[in-house]
This record gives sequence, C-alpha cells and structure tokens, in this order.
Amino acid sequence: MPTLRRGTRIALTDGSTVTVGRFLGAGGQGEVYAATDNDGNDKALKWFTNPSLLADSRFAASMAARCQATPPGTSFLWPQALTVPYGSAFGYIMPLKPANYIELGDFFCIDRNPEAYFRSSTARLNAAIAIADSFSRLHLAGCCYQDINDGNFFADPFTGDILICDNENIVVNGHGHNIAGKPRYMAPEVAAGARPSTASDRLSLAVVLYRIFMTDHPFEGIATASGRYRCLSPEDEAIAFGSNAVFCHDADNASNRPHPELHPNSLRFWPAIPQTLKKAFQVSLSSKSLANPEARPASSRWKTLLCNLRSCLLTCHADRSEPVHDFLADTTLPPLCPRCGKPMAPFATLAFDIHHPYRLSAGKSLFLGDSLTAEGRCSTMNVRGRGVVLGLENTGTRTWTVQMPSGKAATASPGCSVVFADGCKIDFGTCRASVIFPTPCL
Amino acid sequence: MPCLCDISHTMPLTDIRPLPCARRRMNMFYLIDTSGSMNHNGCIESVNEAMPEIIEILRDVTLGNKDYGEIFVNCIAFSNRARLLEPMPVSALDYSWSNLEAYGLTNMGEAFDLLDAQLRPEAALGATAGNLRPAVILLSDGDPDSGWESHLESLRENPWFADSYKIAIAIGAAPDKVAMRKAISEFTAIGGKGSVISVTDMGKLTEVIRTVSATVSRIASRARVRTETGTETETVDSQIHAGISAALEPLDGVDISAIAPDSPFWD
Repeated sequence: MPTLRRGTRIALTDGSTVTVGRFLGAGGQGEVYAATDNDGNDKALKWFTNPSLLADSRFAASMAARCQATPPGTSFLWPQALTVPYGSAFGYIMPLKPANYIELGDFFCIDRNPEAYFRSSTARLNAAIAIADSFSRLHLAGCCYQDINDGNFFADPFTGDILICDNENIVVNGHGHNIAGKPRYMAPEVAAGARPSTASDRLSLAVVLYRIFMTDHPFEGIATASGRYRCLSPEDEAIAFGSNAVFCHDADNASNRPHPELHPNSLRFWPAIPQTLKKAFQVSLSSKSLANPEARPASSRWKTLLCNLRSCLLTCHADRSEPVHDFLADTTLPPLCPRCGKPMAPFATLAFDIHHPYRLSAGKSLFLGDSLTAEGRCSTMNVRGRGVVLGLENTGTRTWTVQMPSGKAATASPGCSVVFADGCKIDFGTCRASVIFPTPCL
Repeated sequence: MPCLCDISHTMPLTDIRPLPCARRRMNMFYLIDTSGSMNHNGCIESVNEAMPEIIEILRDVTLGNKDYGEIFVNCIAFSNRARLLEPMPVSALDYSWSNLEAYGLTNMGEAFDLLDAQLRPEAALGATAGNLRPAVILLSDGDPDSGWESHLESLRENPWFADSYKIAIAIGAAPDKVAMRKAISEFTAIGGKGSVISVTDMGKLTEVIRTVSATVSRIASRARVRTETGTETETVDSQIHAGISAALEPLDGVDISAIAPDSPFWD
C-alpha cells in the first residue's frame, strides 16, 4: 500500500517542492511515484521505506553526495535532489522514465507483458552494449553498483536503449554497507557476507547479459529445480545460486543443464548465439569465475566483445517482409540467411586500421569502435551505370575523406553518402577503413 | 582480416519468441477463526473487509516479482469444523474472496490437520519449478476447542510447516484465555521463527491483517537488504518482524513481540 498520498507536496533540500503523483511501484528498499516539480516538469520520486536504510545515517549522507555527483553515462536515471525528511522517511527525485521503456524483468515474463521482447537482434545487442558500457564507465570511475539485477534496468524493446535506475546503490568500490543484493544475481562472496564490489558487479553483470540473450537464468537448471530443495529458503538460495551455483551451459560440468520444461529458453536460444558469446558466458559464469572474483572478465571486456559482435551483425533484405532479418554472427557467416533461407544479399566490409572489421548491409548503422553514437547508416542506392549498390550516409558530425580505387579523392560531409566500390578508402577523422565490396559469402 | 566464410548458425534469435520463465511458488495460508465470538465487535466484518484488499496487495506483489515468487493463497476457516475455501491454493492473480460467516465453536485442531495436508509435495507444494518458504497467518479470538494439542503435535512433524513463516493475530487475548495463548504461542514457536500480534482495539484489526499480509508477502517472496553492521545479513524472519513492528508499533491497542515459549509478552 503506497506510503504517500497523491497530491502531497514534498520539500526538496534545494528549496523547491515536488507534488506526489501516481504510485509506480515498490521494491525492497522503497517506493517510486510520479511527481511534478515547481515548473510542471515530470519527475520520478524514489521514497525509501526500508527501516534498515532509514536507520542508517551513512546512507542519507551517501545519497546527498550522489545527487551532487556527475552520472558516469547517459543511461543512468541519476538522483537530482534529495527531499527534506517527511514523516520518518525521505527520498530523492530523478528523471521520469519514458513510457516506451519496459522494465527488464518484464522481458522474463512475457505472459504478463506481451510487449516485452526485443524486436530485433540489433535491439537485443544494443541493450547488452548499453549495459556493459554503463558499468564499464562506472567501474572505471572507481565505483560499484552493488545490486545489479533485472529490476534496475528499463529497455526499449524496439531499439535496445537502456535506462538504469536505483542509482542510490552506487558507492565507491568497497565502501558499500547497506546493500546485499537480490537473490540469484548476487555473487557468491556477497551471499556469504562480503561487501559488494566491482568484482561482484561483474558476476551480476554476466547474469543480466545472459538473460538479455537467453531470457532464462544462467544458474537455473535441473539441480535447482523442484526436488532438490524442500522449500527454497534464503539459506538454500545462497548456496544454490552462490557457493554451489553451476552454469547451465558450463563447459566442464553438466550437472545443472536446463530443465526441458522449466528452462526452454536456455535450451532454444543457446544454439542461436555466436561461439564467441557462448565462450564469454562459459568463462564469466564458470566455477572458476564464481569462486574467484579476480578471475571475472571486466565490464570493459564485455563491451569490447559485444561491440565486435555488433561489427559482425548482418541484415538480410532478400525477403522484404518486416521486420528486417538481422542476426548475430561471429566473424564466420552462413551463405544463406538463417531466417528466410535465401542467399545473402551482397554486403560490404570496412577493414579498419584500429577497429574490428565492420560489416555493412542495408539498414545497418555504423558505429566506430565501441562508440554508442552512430556515424553512418548503410542503404541501397540506385547509381547510374551500376544499378542498385550499397552506400553509406554520413549521419555524424565529421566530414569524411574518401579515396576511390581510381585514386580520385572526395569528401562526404554530414548528410552526404558514399557509394561503395571495392578498394575505396574512407577516412572517418578518428580512424580509416578500406571497403571490401561485395564481401564474398562463400 | 579473418575469414568470413567458414561456419553457419542454426537460426536467428529474433525467430525465437521467448517463453515466460518458470516461477517458484510461495504459498500463503490464512487460518481464520469463524467461531461465533468473531461476531462480536465486528471482527468477522473486519476480516471480510480486509481480505479483498489483501488479495489486491498479493496480486501487486506477485506482478512485481516478475519471474520470481508467484504467490498462491488458500484459506482455512474453522468453527465447529474446519474447511478449505479452495481445494488447493490459487494464484493471487486469480483468487477471489468469498465472505465468511461466524458461528459455532473453535475447532482449531481440525484447521491444523487441513494445513498439515496442504503442506505436502503431493498437495500445495507440488510446483515443478519449486517452492519458496510458505507463510501461515493464524487469526483467532478465543480458546480453541479441547484436543487441539494432538493436532498441533502432528503438524509439528511436518517439515514444511517448520520451514514456514508463522504470524498469529490474537484478538482480545485476555489473561483468562489460557488455552488460546498457549495454542498461539506453541503454533508460532515451531521452527522458532514466528511472531504474535495482540489486538485489543478491534478498530485496528483490518489494518493489522493488511499490514501483516503486505509485509510477509513482500519480504518473503523477494530480496534482502544488508543491515548496518555490514557483515551480518538479516534473516527474512527478522526482516518480517521488523517490518511488521515498524508499521504496527505506533498503533494503540496493538502489541507485537517475537514469540518464545517463555516470552513475557503475555504477562
């Protein structure tokens, strides 16, 4: 039952007030309401109700510092101002999540929210990259989130854009004191009583990333199914998903394979992801990674791996039905579109001087390296004398320099396009690439 | 540059629509005294008023849990006899409350038997995806009929009952209600984890039932938060107790204490 009444005016420490709007939800730490500030702007109000948090003076001080700090990335719904205590509780305001974003947890219960599924592999991959990027930035800043779980993220199912909430959890690495985390997402050492850290974040991150691609939980399998535990108590849970956790696709331990009835997603999605991603999960969620926090791959490594997969992702336009057929691939590639079975349409590959080779097919955006900002968009163009060929529109802010195979040089300013020809070279300002077009599939 | 041509993939991710993830079940049982004395001071009306709202709360908690605990509800009403309101617990998403009437005696022993039969893998605990610890909320306003002890002894042997979160709401537990005090104390002490709430102001009963239900369901089907000590993790039982205490202690006519067989709470 909501603690705050709609219409209540709550004072902020900056002297302004917000008016409480509709109740949006509640979690272990508190409640979230829509709110309106003095200027009529929509906000979200996080309201702490957990007695342990409210009794902790360090938590209030930490929250005040959080409001003053700069967010490490654009995905964070960052605390903007603390409220003055009201009754025995307090909270903070942050930007209100737009309606097109769906809580990540909904993606795991499509029976309750039929809209909660990624519409394309591009969107799924973008979501994973955005999350890896956010935590990479956070960890590089010397902080940890402490409580990464499916309730902290909102995703746009069409684009994969991500928003991260509950940022009161963020502390300087190793200085957390009031958060343990959510069962099934906590690292074993945290379940056993250790303080959360960037190392424990890495394990939780791997669990979330696995669920973005696989939907089911990586440590749920036949060993955690009914029969092994009378009732799954928190103590059992700390063991089953902590010290005794076994990845359901562990390379060396088959004791916890997905249960055919309970974990069909882990069974069905696994064959559809690239080998590099499988290996990354098998390393990040291995018994070695579980037992040894220092052995866990850093969030920045996840970002690099996922950006490399983005380079390899392809779209197929042989079948004109919507949505466009896109699929993840390694550096290897099938000759036929795995979705429509037709021969792959010609695509181009940009062989970069400093980045992973980047495949471009119609409809795919170009990102340079691990940037989250698209610099170009590939499309088909009708060229006199050559028919329909692929080209790249400059959607960024820098002017490109293009050298054609003939040696002729040209520029492509923002809004202009380059028509691909085998051997042409593009200088993007920060890096250069040779165009291989068409890239042979067979 | 790596070769782009060697292996193939079976199918793209977007062709596989995800299925909902399996959820563990958390069963909540309400043992409700419907003896004739529950007609006094509007007690049964308070129950009937509270329960539809509680079902809404349990529904919200279940939906908020996403792929985690799904709450199932059943109610055992006891007067001359005890009866299950549903043959098996029903998901909070589908449960609809039917008002209870109060009459007759207080056959708490038979209610224990029905609870015992429900707390079995072949009954309510048969979820393939597994179960979380169940919760049992006992509400009574008077001395149970004689013979309840042997029924409680049988229930004591049920390991799922020992595992459960137990909360008793004692209405008007005057000192002369010796059997009621004894039954409730022993009931909640099994497993050493229960709490007892004594309500002497009947106007608060609806709020007490609602608070207990909301706190138990929310905490028991979700996560835990570290305590201030930094190394000790609160047990779920202590979180439930703390949550209920924080909400109810300010109320006059409502008292809560961790129950122990020798607790001074009843004095």
